[in-house]
Amino acid sequence: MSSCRFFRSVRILAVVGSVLVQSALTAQRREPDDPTPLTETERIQHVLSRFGFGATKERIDEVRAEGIQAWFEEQLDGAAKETYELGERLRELSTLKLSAADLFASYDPKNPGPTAPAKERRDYVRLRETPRRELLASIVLRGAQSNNVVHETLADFWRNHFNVDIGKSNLRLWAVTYERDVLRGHMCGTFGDLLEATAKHPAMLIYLDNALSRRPPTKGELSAVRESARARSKSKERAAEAVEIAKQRGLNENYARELLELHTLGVDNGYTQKDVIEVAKALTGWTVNQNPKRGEVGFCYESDMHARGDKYFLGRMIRPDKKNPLLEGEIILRWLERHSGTAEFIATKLCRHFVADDPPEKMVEHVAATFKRTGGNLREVYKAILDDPEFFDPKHYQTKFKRPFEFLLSAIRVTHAQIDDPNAVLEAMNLLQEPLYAQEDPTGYYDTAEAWNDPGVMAVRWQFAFRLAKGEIRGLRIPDEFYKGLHPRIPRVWKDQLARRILPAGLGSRSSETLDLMMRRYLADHPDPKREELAPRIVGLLLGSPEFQRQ
Amino acid sequence: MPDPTSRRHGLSRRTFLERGALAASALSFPIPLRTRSTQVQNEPPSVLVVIFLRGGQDALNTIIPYRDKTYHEIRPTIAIGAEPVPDEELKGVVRLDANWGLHPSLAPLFPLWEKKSLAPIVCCGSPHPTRSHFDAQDFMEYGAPGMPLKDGGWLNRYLRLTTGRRGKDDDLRAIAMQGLLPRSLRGDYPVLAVPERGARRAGEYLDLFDDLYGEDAARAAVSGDKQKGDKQKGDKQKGDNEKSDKKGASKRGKMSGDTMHGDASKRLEEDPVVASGRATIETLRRYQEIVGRATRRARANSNFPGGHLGPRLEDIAKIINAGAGLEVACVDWNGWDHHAGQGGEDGRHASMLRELAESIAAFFTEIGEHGKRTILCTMTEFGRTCHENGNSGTDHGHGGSMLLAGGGLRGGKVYGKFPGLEDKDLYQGRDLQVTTDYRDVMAELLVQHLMCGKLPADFFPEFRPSKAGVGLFA
Repeated sequence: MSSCRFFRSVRILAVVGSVLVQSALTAQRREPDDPTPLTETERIQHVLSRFGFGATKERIDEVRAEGIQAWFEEQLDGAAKETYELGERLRELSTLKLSAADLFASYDPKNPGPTAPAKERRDYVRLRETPRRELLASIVLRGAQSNNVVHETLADFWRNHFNVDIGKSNLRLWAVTYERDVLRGHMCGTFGDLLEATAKHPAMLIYLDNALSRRPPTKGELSAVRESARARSKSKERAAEAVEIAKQRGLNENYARELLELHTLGVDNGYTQKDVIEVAKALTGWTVNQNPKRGEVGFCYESDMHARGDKYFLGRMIRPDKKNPLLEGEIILRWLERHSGTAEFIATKLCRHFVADDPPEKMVEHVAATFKRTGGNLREVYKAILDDPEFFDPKHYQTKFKRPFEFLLSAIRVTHAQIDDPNAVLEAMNLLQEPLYAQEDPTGYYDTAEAWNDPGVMAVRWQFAFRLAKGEIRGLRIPDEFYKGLHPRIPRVWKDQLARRILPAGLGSRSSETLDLMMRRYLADHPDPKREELAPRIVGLLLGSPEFQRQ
Repeated sequence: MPDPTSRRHGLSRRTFLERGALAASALSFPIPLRTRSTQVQNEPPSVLVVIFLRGGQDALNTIIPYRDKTYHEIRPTIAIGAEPVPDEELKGVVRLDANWGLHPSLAPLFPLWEKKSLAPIVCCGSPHPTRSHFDAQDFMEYGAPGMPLKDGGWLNRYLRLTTGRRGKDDDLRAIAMQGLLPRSLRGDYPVLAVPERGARRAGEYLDLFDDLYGEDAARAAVSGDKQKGDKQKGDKQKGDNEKSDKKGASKRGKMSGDTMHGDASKRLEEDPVVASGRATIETLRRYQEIVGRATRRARANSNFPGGHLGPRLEDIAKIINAGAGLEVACVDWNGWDHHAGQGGEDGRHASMLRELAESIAAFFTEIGEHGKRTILCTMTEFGRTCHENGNSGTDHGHGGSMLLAGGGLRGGKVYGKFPGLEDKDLYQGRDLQVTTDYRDVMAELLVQHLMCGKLPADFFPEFRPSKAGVGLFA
C-alpha cells in the first residue's frame, strides 16, 4: 500500500509540474452567447465534460494526442490501461468477481438472532453487507479513477435507465451480477441484449415484483382448494374463505408497466392498460430461484405460474409455444426492442443525458435513426451522438447542470483527491439526495437541472467543496502535491493557477473578477498568507463556483 | 380562525403597489424588505402543510368502508377487521360513523376527529386515467392533469399570485423539509428546500459565497464589462466593506432593498445556477434565524416519532410556533407503492400509517393554539386496485383519498361520494372512482383557508369547479 502511494505521488508531481509550465493566466471562458465554433481544445473539454466527469490537463493532452474519434473508439472498447493502484484497490474487493451461486454460498449468513453475542452479530452484519459495500465502493473508485471513463458515464446512464434499488429484499446480493454482467456486460452491445438481460435478471424480477406474478387459479384448482380446506377444517365458511384467498392470487403488473413506460416505449406511447396486463401475463413464470438446494440460483421459469392462452399485445396475437414457454415473453421484448417508439425514447434520453436538458430534435431523430438502422447497436448509437454536428454547438458548451453524482466525481477528479474510504463519497451522495443504487422510484434519478437545482441545494455543494478543500472529510483528501508549484512569492496569482487546474474551460468574467476582489481583500488583511490556509480557500470557492456546477 | 379580511386589508393600496412593482423587478426572487411596522400589525397567516405520500397510497385500507361485505371479499388477506355483526363490538377499524372507519394504525388521529378537526375525503383524486406514478404526480402537483405545465406547481403559483399582498415577502413564506423541492413548490417564486440532517450545518458556508453568487458581484462584473464608471463605484463600495465586519456589511447590503442595476438583474435572471445560489443564501439565512428563535421557546409536551415524517413535522412546527410568516410547507414521503407484502392490520402499510398518525397528532400538540390557523393535508397520486393481488398487495389504481386536519375545517365528517365496490361500481371494473376532483379540494384550501382571493380562471387550466364545492369550510 505505502509503495503504491509513493508511485502515485510521483505521478501527481509530474502532472502538476507540467501544468505549471503553462502561463499562469486564467483561461478565458467563452461568453455564453458566443456563436463562434468551438476551438479544438474546447471540443476536447466538451467531450470530457459530458463523457468523462470533467476535463483535467492530462486528459486533455491524452485526447489531443489521439484525436477525439480515435480516443472515443478506444474508450468504447474499454482499452485504456488502468493504473496499478486502481487495479489493486479493485482486487481487494473480492466479491466483485463472484458468481451469484458463490455470493449466496458465502455472503448470505444465517441470522444469529437478537440473543447472540455482540461479536457474532457484528460479524453477521459485516459478512452480509460485504457485497453491497464492495459494489458501491467499486463504482466510486472507478468513477473517480478509471482511465476508461466513458464506460463509467455509460454505466451511470444505464444504472438510472434500468434502475433497481439495492435496499429491496436481497438485492444486496443480486446487484453485484446485475451491475457487472447485465449493465456493464451489455452497455456497448445491442439494446435488445441489454433489455433481455435486465428482464431475466433476478435484481429486476425482484425489484419490480415480476418474480411474484402468477396466473389466476383455474376453476378446477379452486374446487380442489375448497375440498381440501373443508376436509381440514370441517367448516364451510373456512372453505369459502380459502377459495377467496386463492382467487386473489394472480398477476402483478408492476414490471410489465415499467417495461413499457420506462424501459422501452415511454409513457402512454401507444399502449393501453390492457397491453400492460397482456405483457404481465406473458411474463408470468419468469421468476427467481434463490434456494441453492433447488439447483443453481438465478432466473428460472415456473410453468405452474404461467398464464396459458393467447396473448394480444399492441393489436397483435402471440401464440404460446409449448416447447419453448419463454418464447412469448421474448417475442414481446423483441417487438419492443424494434419498435420505433423505443428507438425514439432511448435516443431522447441519451441526448438529454449527454447533450442538453431539452435535446435538439434533429439530433434525436438522427440518433434514433442510427438506433433503428443498426438494430440497436449501442456503440453506433453513442458514436452518432458524438458525430452529430449539434454535439459541438457552442450553445451546449458548459451549460448542462451537473447531477450530484457528476459534481462529486468531477470534484474528485480535478483535485486528484485520494479516496481512502469510499464511504466518504457515498455519504456525500446521500446528502446531495442521490444515494447510489438506492433510488426507490423505477425512473432512476432525473437528468435535468429542473430536478436538482433548487434553492437550498447549493448550500450542500458548498459545504462539500470547502470540507474537501480543507481536508475535513475523513477518507477523502486532496494531496499536498496538488498544490505544488504555486508561485512562491506572488500569492495573487494562485487563484489563476488553481483555476486552470480545476476549471480548464475557464472562469466567467464575473466570477473571475469577484475572486480577484476577494483575493485583494484577503491579502490586504494577510500580507504574508500561508499556503495551507489561502490555497484551500480558493479551491473551495472554485469548486463551489457557478462555473463548476456546469459541464 | 382570525378574521381573514384584517390581513387582506392590512396594507394600504400604496404599499401594495410599491411592493408589487418591487417584487416584479426583483430578479426572479423577492428582495427582502424590512418594514417592521407592517409585520407587527399583521397577524400570522394561515398555514397549509402538505404531505405527499408518493407511490400511490392505498385509500381503501386507510378510510375503510368496514360494513361493505364486498370490501372483505375482495381483500381476503389484507382487509381490516372482520365484517361487523350488528350489535357486536367492532374489531379492527377505528369507527368514525355507521359506514366508515380508520385503519387501526390511525387511532392517534381519533381525538382530532372527536374535536371535529379531521376531514377524510374518499374517492378523491385526478380524473386523468394514467396509472404512471410519475405522470400522475406531475399532473397532481401542477394542478393540471394531462397538461404538464411549465410555469410551476400549484403552490408556487399560489405564492406568486399573492406576492406582495401581505407585505410578508421578507418572511419564509414557504418551505420544503427535504433536500429537493416537490414539484408543487417548483417555479419562479423561490422556495427553500432545507437540506437534511448533517447538511443543515451547511449554513456556515453561506457567507463565503455571498460574493460569488451575490448582487454586488453581478454589479461589479457587469459594470466591468459595460460601464467603467460604475465599476469604480463598485470597487469603492468593496473597499468600504473590507474595513468593516465582512458579514455585517454584506447583510446590510442585502437588507437595504435598493433596486438593482438593470443589466445585472438581467444577467442573473439568465443564469439559473446563480439565481439558485443566491436564493439559497437568502432563504437559508432566514430559516436559520427563525429556527434559532424557535428553539429558545419552551416546547410543548409533544411526542414526535422518529423515522421519516416525525422529525420533519417537528421542524415545521418550530417555524409555525416562531410566529414567522410561514404559509406553505411540504414534506414528501416515498414508499407507498405496495405491490407486495402490503399487509392488513400489521405489515408495511400499517406501520407507515402509524408513523403518519403519530406524527400528525404530535404536530398538532406541538403547535397548540396555532392549530387554529393551520391545516395539514395528505395527498397521493392515485389509489390502488380494490381487489388485492396475489402477493398480499395491490396494484396501481385510480381514485384515492385525502386526509385533512386542522382549524377552520368542518371536520368530523367523511367527505366524498362512494359508489360502492361491486365490479360495476368501479372505475374500469377495478379501481375506486374519482367522485371528488382534487382541484376542488385545492381550490377550497387556497380560497377559504389561505384566503388568496378569487382564483384566476386559468389557475387550474381547463378546470371546471364543481358547483356545490366540497364544502370543507363553513
